[in-house]
Amino acid sequence: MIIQGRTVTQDLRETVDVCVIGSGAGGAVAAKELAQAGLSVIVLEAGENHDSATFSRHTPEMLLRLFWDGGMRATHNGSVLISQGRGVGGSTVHNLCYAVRPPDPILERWGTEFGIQDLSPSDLSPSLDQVETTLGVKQIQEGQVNRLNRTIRRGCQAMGWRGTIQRHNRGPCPDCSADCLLGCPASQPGIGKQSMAVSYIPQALEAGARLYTDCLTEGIVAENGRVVGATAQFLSSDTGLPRQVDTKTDSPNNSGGKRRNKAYRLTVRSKAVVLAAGAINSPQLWLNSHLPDPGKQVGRNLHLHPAIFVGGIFDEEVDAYQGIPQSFYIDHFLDLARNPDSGYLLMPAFGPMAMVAASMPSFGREHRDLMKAYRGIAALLVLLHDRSSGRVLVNRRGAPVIHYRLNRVDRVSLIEGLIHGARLLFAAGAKEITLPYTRRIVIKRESDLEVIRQSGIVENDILIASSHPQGTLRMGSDQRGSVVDSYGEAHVIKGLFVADASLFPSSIGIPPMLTIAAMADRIARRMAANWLS
Amino acid sequence: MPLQFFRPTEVEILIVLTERMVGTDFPDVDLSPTATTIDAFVAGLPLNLRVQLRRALHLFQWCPILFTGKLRPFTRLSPHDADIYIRSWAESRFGLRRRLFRGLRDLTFLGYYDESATKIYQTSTDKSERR
Repeated sequence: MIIQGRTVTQDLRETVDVCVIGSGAGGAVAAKELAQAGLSVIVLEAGENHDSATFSRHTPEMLLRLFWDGGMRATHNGSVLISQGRGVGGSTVHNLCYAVRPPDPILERWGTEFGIQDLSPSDLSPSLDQVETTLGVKQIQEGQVNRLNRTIRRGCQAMGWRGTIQRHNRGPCPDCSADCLLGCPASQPGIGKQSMAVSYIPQALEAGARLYTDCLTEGIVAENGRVVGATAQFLSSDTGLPRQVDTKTDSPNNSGGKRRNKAYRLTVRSKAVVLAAGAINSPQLWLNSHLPDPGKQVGRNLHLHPAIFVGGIFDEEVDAYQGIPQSFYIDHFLDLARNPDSGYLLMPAFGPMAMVAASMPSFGREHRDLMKAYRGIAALLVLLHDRSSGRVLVNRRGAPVIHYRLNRVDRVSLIEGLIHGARLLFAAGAKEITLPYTRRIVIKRESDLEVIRQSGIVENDILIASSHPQGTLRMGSDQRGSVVDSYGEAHVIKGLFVADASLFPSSIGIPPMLTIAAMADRIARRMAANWLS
Repeated sequence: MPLQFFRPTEVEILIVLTERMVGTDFPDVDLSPTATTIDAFVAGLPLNLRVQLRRALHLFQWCPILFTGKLRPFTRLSPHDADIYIRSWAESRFGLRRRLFRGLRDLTFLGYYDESATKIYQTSTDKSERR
């Protein structure tokens, strides 16, 4: 059952076994597993319940519908743009479906370095199998590889680097395009993108879970070291934003008096809460709820997988816009067995015109001339497995403030990645390389690449984006260095579990969706087993 | 369509800004729909972001005297002077100015490149247009 918060006209109360906050890669999985185990479950989701058939090709509209802050969420100094999904399915609605298993060296490191129990590759394998089955993960077939990915693969082969076609959680996608980033209009069970919204969430509802949409969780309530529920606010029916009133113009008698719109609220009593609002909103909620944090670890250890766009302009039409945007990637520079905390991926990248425009340098005629080559652009992202660590705080209004600065080692890695990306594109036949600096630097041959080192990575001089925030409520055995235990339960609040990318003790280095879902599966199964016993 | 957030005077700034940022030289292109798209987008953002964008727009409009010595607001600069002024933001040594440049630039791109009339580049097969 789905209850749309924007249609609610009274305060509501719920008493359930488990309250799940968030419906993305972690929350949806937890909700389904717990509901199928026979527990009463409600899911609170701040965004809307998308009808994929209504997904349009208008970038501004879809940014507002699918992303927190309309896709404009950023670090406090604006240097890294952070895209995070909002709405039923979370980021799985807009991500590009890479379904990559966590690297063994990462899981082993989490076990040895952070003392996490029962999380070896073989321990996690049953959960990964379960998630892959539910999401319909399959190997991308050669016929599905579009010209963009073939171009990048051609460059990779010319360089002699390691790269592979990946597996995706998608069914047949006859009309797939770069607009996949704005949600898949074909998405339904078995067809198109297999987001949580068309896979786990329907199964959770079928098992009896109740889903509140347009319902922004404001606080988690704990008493005597045990969680007892949560409070939430239903959002406005017209804007989907929290009800806000301009007190200057909305005084009841125009006399300047203040009046506040009624915000209908939901009060939940539950024996357990699963926090799965993502690595920015989960610590935000923890901090806003004034929950204990004896190790002072809440919000710390933020990793972002910062990524930079490298474009190549080709004589031939690549038409990167058409087909599955990402199917191939290059992990030649990610050798986690030897260097578990450094390296980067090179992955094909493209998007709707407005997004590509934002990834081009300069402005005016210079920019327009680059955009004229839109059909001949092939691009990739350098996605960094970052050592740099940031922090999520909240301001006096309770909004998240994200601090993150790249350290010197990571800046050097990114520069190396940009140069490698450019060399690959030249090897594939590119005539010119474009980078998202504010000014245009001309790179027409390999000997020009030194200019990248000279330009460096300077905040707000080059566009850096992140889609994978992680690590802000991390797992571990030591309360002084972590927030939750090996099964996601808070060290100091019984019944409060975390089941999203906040859990990761370190950067994972690869697209994280599958790992998040598998860890949520593992946590939920443990919760259910303990409950029933 | 009625404006949802910006005032008419702010829309005027947005249109001039879009002209310069996009580098449009299509004389028959009406940028009003672009401004309407931007206005609708900004109206859907959280309050703090809306306020920041409005402030940024006004800062941009009234700062030519500080950075170019011209006693005119941005919308009254010649195209040549406007481009010099914008470049001073893009290439400033102050991160905040570069950030504001990028924020306003990408906002105009969001509106402009969403308009179907301007998807000329997406459908053009005229290679002579290509660099």
